[in-house]
Amino acid sequence: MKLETVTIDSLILDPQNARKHSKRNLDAIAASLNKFGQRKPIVVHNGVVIAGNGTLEAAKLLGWTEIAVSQCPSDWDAETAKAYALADNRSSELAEWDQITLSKQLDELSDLGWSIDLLGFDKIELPDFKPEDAEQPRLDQSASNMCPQCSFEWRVGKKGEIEPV
Amino acid sequence: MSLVIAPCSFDAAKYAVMNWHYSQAMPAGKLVKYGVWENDKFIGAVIYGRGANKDLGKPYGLEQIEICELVRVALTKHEATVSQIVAQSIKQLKKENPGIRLIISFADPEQNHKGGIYQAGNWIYNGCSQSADEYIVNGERIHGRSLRAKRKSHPIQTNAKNALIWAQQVLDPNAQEVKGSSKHRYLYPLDRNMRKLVSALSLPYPSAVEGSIVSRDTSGIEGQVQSLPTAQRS
Repeated sequence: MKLETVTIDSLILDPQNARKHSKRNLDAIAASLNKFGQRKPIVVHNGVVIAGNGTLEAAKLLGWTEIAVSQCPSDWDAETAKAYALADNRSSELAEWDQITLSKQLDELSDLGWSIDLLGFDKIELPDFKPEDAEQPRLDQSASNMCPQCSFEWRVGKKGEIEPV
Repeated sequence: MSLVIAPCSFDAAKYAVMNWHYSQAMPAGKLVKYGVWENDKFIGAVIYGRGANKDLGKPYGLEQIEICELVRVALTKHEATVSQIVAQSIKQLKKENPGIRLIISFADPEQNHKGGIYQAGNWIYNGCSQSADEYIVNGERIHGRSLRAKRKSHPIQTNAKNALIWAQQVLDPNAQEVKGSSKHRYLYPLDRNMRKLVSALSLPYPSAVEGSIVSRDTSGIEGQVQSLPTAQRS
């Protein structure tokens, strides 16, 4: 893969891009570019961006004039470029977060002074669990049994005796 | 800082265990679940259960309904000390389960736990439990009991004569048995007679430094290591 730097004005956003970038998404990309710089090239086919449209839009928002790109192989036709664009978006979409690892890492970074917003995450909100009045099971009683004939309910007592419930 | 310890739902307790406890697994069976709130914010759960072994009380002359196990203390960042939180949960447990006479808990040295929270709460150290059978299956350490339960409920059954062979046939050809770890056992008596009885079983606390022991004020056996005694019913 050959990387090159081109002027942003020379690039065209894919008019057929099937992925829509919300303002929130673009803000997150812009925040990332601003903090970390561009670490991955966008992918271009005949001057049209087929992967990294959000990155290009965010770079424009930041007032960048140049951006790093990777050109598609010269023998790719429009159909192959379209297929790659869909596959690129879909393959990252199919990954899932490991919520526990994610939550731990966000916690750690937050403790180290990183803003969670900058990483595109909302503030970590814990579920709002409340104390419950619901009765807890008794550990000092054995399970109760019911006679199927007369519905008499009983349990085995501490010394093995039958205790009515 | 306001601290509230109160009964909580299974979901709340599970959330705490999955996010804030190293095991990331809810214990099975009948559970008493107390949530912990600091300044109205849910920060974890303390869970008591019957324990995995139905003969848990036998060495202390107790029936199953007279003993319970502190099975999970799952907390995120908190201001109160863990021993304070556990002590408050014990008060509630005792009130709601007046028949319970002894609480037992285990600290896993494999997790580098020596039972600091129990030592801070003045629990009685009762030595190490016998090591259980454990297995490595698909790279994960699994308790023998869990493997046998898995076998029982698995859709693929074979004529394997034991759980290890079944695991090798069905789950992982490289499954192997490993020496299980023994755990530090701590006791918390809930009445005077029980305290008197289990105090006699007290051993010096294991310290954070591997192999050394720390004496307890109440043990009266400073520097002395006892073999595991058997309790007599008084």
